[in-house]
This record gives sequence, C-alpha cells and structure tokens, in this order.
Amino acid sequence: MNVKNKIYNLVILKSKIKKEKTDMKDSDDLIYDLGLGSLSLVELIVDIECEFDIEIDEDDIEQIYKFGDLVNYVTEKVNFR
Amino acid sequence: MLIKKGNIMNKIEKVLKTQAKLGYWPGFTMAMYPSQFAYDPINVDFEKIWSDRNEVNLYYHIPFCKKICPYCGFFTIAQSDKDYIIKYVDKINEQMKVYSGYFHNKGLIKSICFGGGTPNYAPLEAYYRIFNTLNTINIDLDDKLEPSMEISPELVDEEYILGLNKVGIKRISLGVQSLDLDLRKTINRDNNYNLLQLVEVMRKYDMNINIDVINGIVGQTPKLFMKTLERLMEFKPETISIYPLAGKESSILKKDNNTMTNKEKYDLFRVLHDYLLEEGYYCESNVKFVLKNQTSTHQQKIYEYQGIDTLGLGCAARSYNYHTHYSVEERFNPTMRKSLLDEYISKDFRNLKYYGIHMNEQERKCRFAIYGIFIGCVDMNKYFKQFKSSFKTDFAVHVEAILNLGYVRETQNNELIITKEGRVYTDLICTQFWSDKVKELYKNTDKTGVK
Ligand SMILES: C[S@@+](CC[C@H](N)C(=O)[O-])C[C@H]1O[C@@H](n2cnc3c(N)ncnc32)[C@H](O)[C@@H]1O
Ligand code: SF4
Repeated sequence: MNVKNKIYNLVILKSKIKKEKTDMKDSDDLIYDLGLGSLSLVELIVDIECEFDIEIDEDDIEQIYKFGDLVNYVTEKVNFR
Repeated sequence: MLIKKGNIMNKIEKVLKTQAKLGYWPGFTMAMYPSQFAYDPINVDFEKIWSDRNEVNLYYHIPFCKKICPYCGFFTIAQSDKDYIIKYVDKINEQMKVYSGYFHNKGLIKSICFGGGTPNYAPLEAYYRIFNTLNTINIDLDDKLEPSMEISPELVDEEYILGLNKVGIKRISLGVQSLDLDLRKTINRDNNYNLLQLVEVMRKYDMNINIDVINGIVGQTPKLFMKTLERLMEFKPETISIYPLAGKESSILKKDNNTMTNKEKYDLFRVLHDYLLEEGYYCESNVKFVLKNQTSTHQQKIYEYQGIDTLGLGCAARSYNYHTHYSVEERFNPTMRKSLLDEYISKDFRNLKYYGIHMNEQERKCRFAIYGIFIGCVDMNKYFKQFKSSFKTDFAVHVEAILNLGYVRETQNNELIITKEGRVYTDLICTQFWSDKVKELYKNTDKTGVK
C-alpha cells in the first residue's frame, strides 16, 4: 500500500466526515472539510508516527493544514529516513 | 514499533509526548471526574445514595450575576431581583432539610462553599437564612470548617464583608482575573474597585483570601500576566488560583497573534510556578498555589480529592456522591437557565429531571488516579486498601509512561509524587486515566468540560 492510501485509512478512522477514497481531495482541509478536532488531530499524528516510524517536527505541524500537505510531508520524511 | 533507548515506548508515553510537543490542551476538564460531558439523563434515588454517607461537603450554587462575562460558561443568570433570590434561597434551605433527614448517622459537614455565579449579588439576608437553617437541622459542623465564598470584587463593600463575617464566612475567593486595566475592559469587567483597600477590609475581619486569575485572555502576554501576579505579592493572599481560559476547544494549529498558544501557556506555567515558589508558595495543584505556614485553602477540593462526597444544593449544583454524580443542568444549554431556575423554585427537587452518571468500580478507580495526580500524590497503599487490587497492575501502561517521561517519581512509601513537568502537563496526564467510556463520550462532544 502506498503512503497516500495508508494515510487515507488513518485519517478516515479519526475524521468526523467520512469521505470515500475517491472523493478525498488534496485540498481538503483536515479541520474544516474532514472534521478533525484537536484531539483527533493529535491522535492522527501519533498513529502516523507509529505507522511510518517517523517523528513529525513540532514546527512543521503548523504548516500542515490539508490532506495533500500531510501526504507530501510524510512521503518526504519516509524517503529521507 | 517505537524504540527508545532499547525499550519499547508504550502508546500512552508516545501520545503524551506528542501532545506535549504539539502543545495540545484538552481544556479545563479536570476539576471533577467524570466531567459533565459524560452525564446522561438518570434517575436518582436520593434517600438510598445518601443514607450510608457520614461526612459531606456542602456546595451552594448561587446562580446570579450583575452581568454575564463573555468568557464564562457557568450556570448563572443576570439581573434577578431580591425577592426572586430569597425565594431561591428558601428553596435551597428546604432541600437541605430533606437531605439532612437521609443520613442514617448524623451528617458531619466537612466544608461549606458558596459558588456561582456571584454569591455576593445575593443580599446578606440570604446567608442569614442559610446559616439559620444549618444551625437548626440535625447535622454536625466540623471543627476545622472554613466556610468559603466566591466574590466579585466589583460588587462588595465593608458592610457586606462584615455581614459575611458575622454569619461565619472565613475565606473569600475574589474573582480578580487580571489587574491590567485594558485587559479587564476586553473581558467586560468594571474597574471600580481598589484591590488593596478591599484586602485591608477583609484582613480587618480576619478573612483568608484567595485570588482567582485567568491566563490566556485575548491580548494577554506572559509579561502582562506576570505583572498581575507581582502585584498580588504586595499582600500575599493565602491562595492563588490560576485558570487557563477555557470555553471553546483550544486549537493547536490556528494562531492569531493576540492569543497565547497552548505551548506558550505551558511555558508560562513553568515561569509562574518558579516565581511563586520563590515567593513562599507551594504548588497544591496545577491551578492552585498555597502560601506556606498557614492552613487556609479550598477545603472542599482537598476533601473531594480525599474521597469525601459533595452535596450540591441549589439549581445546577453538582453532587458528587459515592454512588452517583448528578445535577439538573442540561448539558451546555444556556438558554434553559431561567426556566430551570423557575422550575427549581416551584417544584420539589426530587421531582426534577436529572443528568449524571452512576459510578462503578472502574470509574472510581479512574477518579482515584486522576485526583491523586491533580493533588500531586497517588497513594498506592490507599488504593490497594480501597480497591483490593494493585494500582501498578490496573494502570501498568500509564504508570510506566509517566515514570519514563519524568512526570512522576516513586517514593519508598509506595507513592507517585508529581514533578514540576508533571504539573505542567497535569491536564494531559489526567485524560490518559479516563475510562474508555468517558474517552468515547469526550470525542462525541465538541465542548470542553467547563461548567
Ligand atoms: C464562578 S466564578 C467566581 C466569582 C465571580 N463570579 C467572578 O467572576 O468574579 C469562578 C472563577 O472561575 C474562573 N473562570 C470563569 N470562567 C472561566 C473560563 N472560561 N476559563 C477559565 N476560568 C474561568 C474565574 O477565574 C472565576 O473567578
Ligand atoms: S465570571 Fe463570574 S461574574 Fe462573570 S458571568 Fe461568570 S460567574 Fe458571573
């Protein structure tokens, strides 16, 4: 499974708005479009860190607003591990 | 799998670490467990649940204010007339008389607290009536009783304080919030009083003083916050309560330049903690500092941590009974307040509709852990005595996590003592000790647990 698919599966576990994989857009805002709250966002990050065995930097998190940002960020981290 | 110095990092440790790293804050949900979001409609068998209780705290809810502050979520209404308030208080006294008949052994009152709302919005007559009732019913008052009242400093004068002193109030908690005049304006508080003069009057009548301050008001910088604290040092109140502004869920992502982020608030806590310790205070909980070498504190909270039940009197007061926690307050619905009050005044309290939770062994265990952490010491021997099981077995992953992160240290007396970093992240740690049921309920609500 590629990074994007894995992240989709993790996001959908936590999001209030359950979008089909095909409906999920890179521009979807994690909070406004997918309905993540602060707690579920933190849980999502923990899940992603565990799944990919990476550490998300605290300063970076403030740049990640959209589903696409998250996928790109994690892909980059995984590649440069 | 997460590897840390050759150990497998457990999931709770990982979550706590990430939450701290990202500056997550769950809201001020720890003042009681389980929080109100876990309440559902329930039937309360008043006589049954109180008959076996001997020692109780009394909490009187006085839900009246001059005006409603923009940040406040407490159950209170503005601008009630004196007759209405007296009718309400008479009803409270009736309620107390009924309750006092339930205790099989004569009830021993360990603490009395008037909260609100603004208890000093009520005329003194209200308190003459309340204490008259207490003196005529079949209860005992504890020798160490320090009746306490929350007061808005904008609305009090010497005559009122003298009156409170006469009825037996010994501790006053002043809702100062901030001494910065501009900030006070932004939270709609009047600037019509002189704190030092007011303190002088309270000292004249031997009242112990608590000061409530809020951190995280829009426009408040850490520096401005510390300035307010420094001014309080001019008279050294017996206790200082510091509440991070709660209300809507705090965000870790979206920032506006006027509001401290949660991370800045955590940093500020480290600074104010060290400052107050240097000034002669000790940290009783992450929201309370107590002046050393004196005994005044918020008795009710301490007794609650020790497992003593609280009987809530008045509309929307919460009762924390060993068997059941309950209140008439409908979850987070401020538009219902006036009609709930009217109903409280016109009906027998036993016929009202209640929300709450029946406590089971699991919830009691979680409560024990959370209150221990909040007060800074989990006494694992006491836990074993109470539950006939080991704390370290019941909460194995939790204990490992908070020891590894340095949030607690273990003593030879089988206690977990909280460290300064543990104080910083108390609210985070406590949420990890919630039961699965309460965690699930929290996710389904978008509000934090502020009343
Ligand atoms: C019931 S009020 C007490 C007294 C009085 N009504 C007053 O405001 O001066 C209790 C305290 O809760 C705190 N408080 C109220 N709303 C809050 C909020 N949204 N976040 C944090 N603290 C809050 C304030 O410090 C306040 O003094
Ligand atoms: S903060 Fe105090 S005065 Fe303001 S509305 Fe709340 S209870 Fe009333």
